[in-house]
Amino acid sequence: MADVRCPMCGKLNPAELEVCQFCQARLKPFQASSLTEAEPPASGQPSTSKAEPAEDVLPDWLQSLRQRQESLPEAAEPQEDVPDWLSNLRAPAEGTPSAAEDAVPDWLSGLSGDTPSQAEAAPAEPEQVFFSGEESDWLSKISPSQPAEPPETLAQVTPGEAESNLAETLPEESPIQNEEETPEWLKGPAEEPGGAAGQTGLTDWEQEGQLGDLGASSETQDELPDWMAGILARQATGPEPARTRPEIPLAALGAAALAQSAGEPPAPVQEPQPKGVEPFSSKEGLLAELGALDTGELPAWLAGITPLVAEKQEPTPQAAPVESGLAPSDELPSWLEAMRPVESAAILAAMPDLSHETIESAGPLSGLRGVLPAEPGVAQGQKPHVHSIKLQISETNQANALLIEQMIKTEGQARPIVRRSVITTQRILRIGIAVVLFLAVLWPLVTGGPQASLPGFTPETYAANQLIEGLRAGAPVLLAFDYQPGLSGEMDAAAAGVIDHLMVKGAYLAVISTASTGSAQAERLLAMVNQAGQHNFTSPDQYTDLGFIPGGPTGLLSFALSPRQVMPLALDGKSPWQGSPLQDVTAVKDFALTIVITDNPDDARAWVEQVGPALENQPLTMVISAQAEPMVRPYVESNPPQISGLVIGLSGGASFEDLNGRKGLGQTYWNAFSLGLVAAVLLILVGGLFTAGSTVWARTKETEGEKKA
Amino acid sequence: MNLANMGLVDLVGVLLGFVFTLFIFSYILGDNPLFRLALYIFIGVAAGYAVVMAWYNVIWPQLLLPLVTGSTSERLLLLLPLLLSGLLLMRISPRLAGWGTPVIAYLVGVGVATAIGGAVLGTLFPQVQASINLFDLTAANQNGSNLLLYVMDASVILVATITTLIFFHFGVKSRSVQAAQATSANRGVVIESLAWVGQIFISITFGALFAGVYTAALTALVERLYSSVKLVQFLLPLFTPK
Repeated sequence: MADVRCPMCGKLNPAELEVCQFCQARLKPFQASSLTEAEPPASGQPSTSKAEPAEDVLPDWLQSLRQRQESLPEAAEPQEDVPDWLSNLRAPAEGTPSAAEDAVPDWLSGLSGDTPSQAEAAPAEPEQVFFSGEESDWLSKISPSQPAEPPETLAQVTPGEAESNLAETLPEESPIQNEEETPEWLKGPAEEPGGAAGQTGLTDWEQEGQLGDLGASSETQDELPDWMAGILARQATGPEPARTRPEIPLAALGAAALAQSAGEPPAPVQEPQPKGVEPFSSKEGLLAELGALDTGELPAWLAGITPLVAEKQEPTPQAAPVESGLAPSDELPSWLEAMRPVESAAILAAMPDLSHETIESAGPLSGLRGVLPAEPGVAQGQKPHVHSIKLQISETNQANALLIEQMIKTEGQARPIVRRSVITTQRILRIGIAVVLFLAVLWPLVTGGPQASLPGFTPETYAANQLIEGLRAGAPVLLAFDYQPGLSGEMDAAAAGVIDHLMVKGAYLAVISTASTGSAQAERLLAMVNQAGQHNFTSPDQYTDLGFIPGGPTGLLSFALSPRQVMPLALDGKSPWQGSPLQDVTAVKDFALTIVITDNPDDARAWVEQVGPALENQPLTMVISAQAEPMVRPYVESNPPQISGLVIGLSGGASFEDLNGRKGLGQTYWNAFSLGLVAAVLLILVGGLFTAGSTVWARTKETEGEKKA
Repeated sequence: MNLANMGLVDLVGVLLGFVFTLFIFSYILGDNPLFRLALYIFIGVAAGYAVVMAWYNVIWPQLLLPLVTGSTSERLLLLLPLLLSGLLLMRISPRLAGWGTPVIAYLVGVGVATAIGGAVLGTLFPQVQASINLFDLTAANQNGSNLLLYVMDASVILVATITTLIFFHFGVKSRSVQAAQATSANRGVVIESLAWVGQIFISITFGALFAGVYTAALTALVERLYSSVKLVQFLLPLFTPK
């Protein structure tokens, strides 16, 4: 069974469904359900004879017209009575080429081209086509009116029966019934007293199709138009000799059908009278025939034809049973299918009163009335819930939001730049502190001022001194310079005594550094101590500068494990490991003493962590800055100690020099340092007292203000 | 330092040092171009000296020279650091920076492994052992120390160590335990008290660090003023009419 495409969602649905299974849109109109149920299945079209291939694809209503045309006897053309427009239509039908015939499409011309000869050669073929199963209900309902039988058979139908039968197929409220819209040329037969056409609501073309049948009635001849009366008169006189069947202008027929489907009366189409068949002698005969069909009794002429049709039908697997009715043509073009007049009329006849329905105003069904039934859920209008657009926030949040808004506004406002005064309290205080410190330091330096006692040595300083004191002459000592130039003032003063002691002892110094500027610092300090101590310490005889160890702790670890590979060349480009006191050094533990001069506790820790384990039992001594002491001292005071000796800052250097009995930079700086330290302490005390006094004074003032208030 | 025995180059260096010292001292009056000039020169000189040191002390003698004059085995061994160095240089270009990522990863991995190993073996374990040995009275007897003072010193160190560690204890009870015991998310009373003691020791440590920094700075000031005084004393007779 063919599927039906939903007009709303476009999806295919089984034909038996009335609503779309996807969108629930109605697939079949309300009024068409009865008609569609009566239609037979589309498949199983019986094939016709090969001599008429075009008949299969011809629309049913066209075939019916043709059959009716062929069955009617040829009548003399009333040249005088026929209106001009009819004469124009008839002219091409008589075989004269005309513009109307040229306007017919080729496929329609092909359909109609062979019909005259077929009609002449086989008079019975129209009946075969008529019952070939391709005819639909609308045609089958009016088929009894075909004048294929002798007039005496058709004359048995009474006019009343014909009216009742036709009235069943047409709606009572068909717009065609409106007499005001009926043209004058049709009003005549419709208004005849006792006539069925006007009361049963026959469409114009139906009335027209039955005019030939009903025309024999002498009762209507007086009220018929002249041209129609002439036709009826010729029919009454008997059939004329056979002649060439005039071609029906298909374009005109199509236009008429289209106009009728639109609810307008069709243009009068010239319908030639069938030849060789006598028209109905009276309307009663036709109605009697129709009544016989309704009761299931086939007339004699139809009963004789039916077996012949069954014989000519070729049984096909898809053939529909004969009793299922006449199947509609699947090969009919859609546009022509839509132009079928009878179905349209039937649909209109079954259409209920939709005047109270609303007209669709949008969409593909715009203009139609009551097509889309409103769903209950959708149709029920509900008042939407009222939601407040005001934020549900607390007053605190509102205050915060207002504050943020004000802050944002103030950000966008330009504010005048407040010029700072050149002299401020802070600047004065800073200058005052600097002056005090400068005077305190410069006084001993310039005048040799008050002499401060030298600091006493600490156990770690003493341990460092004893370690150096225990070195033999020429013993290799690893001396690391890992401090920055900015702290060279302190580190030089702290390390000068140690280096002087090493030079006194005649140790061979292997200078190394993990800082890029360490070598320069080492060269400078060695030269300064050498000059101050009046030593003759030169490179590479008394010392060698191995240079810079890259990599930080990783480089230190590598150097501790294999110093020769990490530092193969000295800073002068020569190998220090051959022909010198370092020739016996293969590892860092082979140095008699390792001394690290650093200002950074991290560097000190790196030496302890990376090199310390590699030293094994060899001592590690450090000269550190005073700022690194809190971080390095735990390595000195641990048990066992990881740092054997320690010289801390200027005080350590001065005490170390005092231990050696040699004056150096430590003792030179010590007086100025001591007085500067006293000045700093006084400044701290004064500042603290001033701050405390101002605070107390402010609180007292505040308290007095509260008391007054 | 005897300026009279100095050569011309050293004397110029001392003069430049004196000028830049004055530039730095000008910061007492506030931020000024002289201070910034001296600052930029110091940074530039330090960076340039580092490059020179890296070239003459590392790249040339340890990488390029062995590639030219070394044996075949030395050359083959140096190909890997040469390749890694080339990849590291690609970090200059943003488009080729990805090639240097493995080298960075290698350096970071090796550095972290070295630092962790050194910290565990060189600091953590030895310091734990030192803390344990604080109460080694045998060692105190061998050193001839007063046992009472030795024990007190060891006790203070132990208390300081424990309370300082407790100060950095930020663990709290779980929410379920807090709800069951109706307590707050703060630390317990005992922990809080010990942490307060640890905070005192930490404050003392920071004070000692500040004193060390001030001492180092004051020593540097003394050194600079001493050098300036010496230079002035050296130059003053030259400009004084006899």
